[in-house]
Amino acid sequence: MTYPGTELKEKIISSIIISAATVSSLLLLAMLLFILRESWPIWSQIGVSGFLSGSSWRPLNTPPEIGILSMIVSTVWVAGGALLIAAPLGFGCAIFLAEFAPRPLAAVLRPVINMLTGIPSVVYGFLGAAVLVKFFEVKFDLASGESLFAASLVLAIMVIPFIVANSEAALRSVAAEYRHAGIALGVSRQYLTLRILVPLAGKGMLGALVLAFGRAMGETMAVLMLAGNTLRLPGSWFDKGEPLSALIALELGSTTPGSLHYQALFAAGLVLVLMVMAVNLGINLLLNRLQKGGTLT
Amino acid sequence: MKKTITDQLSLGWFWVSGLLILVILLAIILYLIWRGGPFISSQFILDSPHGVPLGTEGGIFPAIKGTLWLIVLALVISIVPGLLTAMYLSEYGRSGRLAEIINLLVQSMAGVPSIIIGLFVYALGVVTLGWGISLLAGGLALAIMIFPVIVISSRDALLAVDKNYRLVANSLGVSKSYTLYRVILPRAAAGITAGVLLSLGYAAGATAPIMVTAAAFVASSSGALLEPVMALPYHLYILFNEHISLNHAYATALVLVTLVLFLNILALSLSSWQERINKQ
Amino acid sequence: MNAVEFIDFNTFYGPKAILQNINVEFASNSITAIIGPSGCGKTTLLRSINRTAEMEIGFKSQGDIKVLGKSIKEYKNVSLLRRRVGMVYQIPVALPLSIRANVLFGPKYYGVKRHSDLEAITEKCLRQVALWDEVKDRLKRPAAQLSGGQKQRLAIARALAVEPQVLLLDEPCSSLDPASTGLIEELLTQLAEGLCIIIVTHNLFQARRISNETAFILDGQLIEKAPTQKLFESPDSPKTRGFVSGLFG
Ligand SMILES: Nc1ncnc2c1ncn2[C@@H]1O[C@H](COP(=O)(O)OP(=O)(O)OP(=O)(O)O)[C@@H](O)[C@H]1O
Ligand SMILES: [Mg+2]
Repeated sequence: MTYPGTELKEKIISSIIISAATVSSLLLLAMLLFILRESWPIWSQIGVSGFLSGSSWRPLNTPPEIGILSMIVSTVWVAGGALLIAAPLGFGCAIFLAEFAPRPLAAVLRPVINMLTGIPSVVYGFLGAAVLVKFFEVKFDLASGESLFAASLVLAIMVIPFIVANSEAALRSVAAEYRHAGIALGVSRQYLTLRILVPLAGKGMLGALVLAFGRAMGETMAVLMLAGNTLRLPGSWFDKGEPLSALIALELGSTTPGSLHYQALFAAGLVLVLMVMAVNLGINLLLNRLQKGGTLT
Repeated sequence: MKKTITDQLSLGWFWVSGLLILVILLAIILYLIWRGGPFISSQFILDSPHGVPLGTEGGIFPAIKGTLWLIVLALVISIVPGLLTAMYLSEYGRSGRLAEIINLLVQSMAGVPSIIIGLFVYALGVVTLGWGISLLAGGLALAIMIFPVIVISSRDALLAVDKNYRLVANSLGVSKSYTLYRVILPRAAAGITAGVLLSLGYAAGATAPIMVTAAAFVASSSGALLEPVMALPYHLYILFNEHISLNHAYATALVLVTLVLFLNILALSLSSWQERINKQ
Repeated sequence: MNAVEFIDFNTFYGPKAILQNINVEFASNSITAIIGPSGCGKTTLLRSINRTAEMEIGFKSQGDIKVLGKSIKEYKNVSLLRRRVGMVYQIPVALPLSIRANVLFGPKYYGVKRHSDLEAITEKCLRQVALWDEVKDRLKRPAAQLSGGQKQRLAIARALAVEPQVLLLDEPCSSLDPASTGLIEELLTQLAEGLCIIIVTHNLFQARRISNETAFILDGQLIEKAPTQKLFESPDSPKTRGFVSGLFG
């Protein structure tokens, strides 16, 4: 009683699946290695610290000046600023959805938030530039209204849905028992939420914030259209700047492959992707650590 | 129970944030309709750009076509590896070491900024392999971008299928692939399709990766793999940024948002259908 | 010949020992009931036989089990072993397919292709579980529409369709009403000719009604296995007496 073929067939199918999964996930490493290779001359000639701390970007000068400090600062500033605006709104909305929203309103709000994630970033950038920036120019009588702040404001709207979705999930995962216990004590629902549920869901909410930060740092079109694109080191939120992603998108097409300029853009890309991955992995590790050491399972 | 000031304030905060988000979305959509709607006509949809400077008159047909080409190509490239990886994670790898690593890699890939994918494909496809700025390069970039989305959503759809089916099938001695094919895949089909549609909407709106690999402001978008294409998001960017036509920019944005939201809503309704299936 | 034979068998979940030093035989053509308090390892024992316990994280085993004279580790592929050892679970599970496709799920995999053969298997197995008359007009309808008792009988038919020589049942009646329970008990008694049936049950009356032999497990150890009547009326071990005395008040 043997079944010719079935065993062999299964072996073949499972090896196809395993190899497809392995190969396609190795793509990430391939990407990183390829970008590293393309940017190698920068690291060997200018060096890591020189590249990161140099604040002037004139790759076509002789001798070329290649440093991305001002872009790194812009990136972090724009993304951090976006979180500053998005966090209170995002957390508020998550708490609203998890605890206070009347059922029908929540049923409308959730898909709406989902749709906000769907709107392409170029549309946000366009509306930000055409409406918001215009408004700043008229209102404050500026020659041009673009600034890190404008970029942050629009980015905030873009990352709010992520913060809301992830923090609501965190709030909901806090066991219902705590809720009952709290209600039995006779405290108000707001008190219960802010003093008991939010601290318990804190790790998850922090995670949501950090993930949003990673996303905001990598966002391109909106910042490209709103941050003003000047290569100077920004001194305040209301200065112009050029984040790394915008730098790459704007200059890549005009470089000669193999030139120092081309290589420098790849080096900038490597820095950006490593920053984003460090943030994402960092928060994962941190959350795991907290989970293991913490009182909650 | 008496309400303190803090209670009142925090309640206000929750309501305001919730409603503000609703208002923002409504404002975005209504504003786009108000500013772009009047310029949408069959001519705008079905004609090529005309006028001096180009784009001030005529329509955006090649951009629509180009965007469709790009997302179809991205789908064709990514769907098979994406589904196979999802099947590995949900059925074959389970809790093994390799599955853990692959999960981590896919998760990290989902976080890679899209401009970085553009950068990679520019170096690999456009320069090294000599494709030039082309539909093929853009399709590849978008495929890499949506691959992790497809993997994660399909994996979760497969994992949501009742574990008892696997147990029962296993105890009959049938193979994993037979169980997958006969029971698990059909059962998760709606959820998988929803994830794929969502990823297509994401690809249709992506600008940065195609800006450096595929897009041109003028192209016929004939579907030739090694030629540049027009694409809605890039067209919008140029119309606005080069001050060509604000009106056409609004109209293009409206078309783009309609396309993407259509895909999203389709995905959303499919996935709620899947949830009902899973509850049965 | 003994259909199933445990030899110095031990299992662990992680560091925790579950079954300890089990030596027991289960004969063909008979029904053996397994009783014991919750958590004592009854399900683990059944799932060790068809090697589905291995699917659980952290599961380890020592010793051996022989099915039809052959060690379960020596079966070239588990598929062959699992085809010989059918299993029915506590929750009635209907695969999300038609009633007919549920029955034919195994046979189609094992290469039965002819339409007339497939029809014959469907009818035979559904008759064996006394379901044929109830469903013969709606074989193409989704099995999900059946009642719990019908689903459980369908599950047995599905297991029988690949012609096992051993049938394992893990509390098959615990979610069913008395009428369905009666039906299943009756058909198990009929099926016992030609099959080795091992049934885990919490219902001591059920064990008495249908089994030829009964085994009592406590904390992972086999306390006693004896003909059912003897085990219930004059057990050797005081522990067994303590457990079954619940039956007689
Ligand atoms: N997957 C698992 N991982 C870890 N421990 C397990 C697992 N499954 C069962 N156990 C443990 O093994 C022991 C025996 O479990 P088993 O399911 O065999 O008991 P049982 O006798 O069938 O109980 P019940 O009558 O409640 O069904 C229990 O202590 C249980 O906690
Ligand atoms: Mg059990």
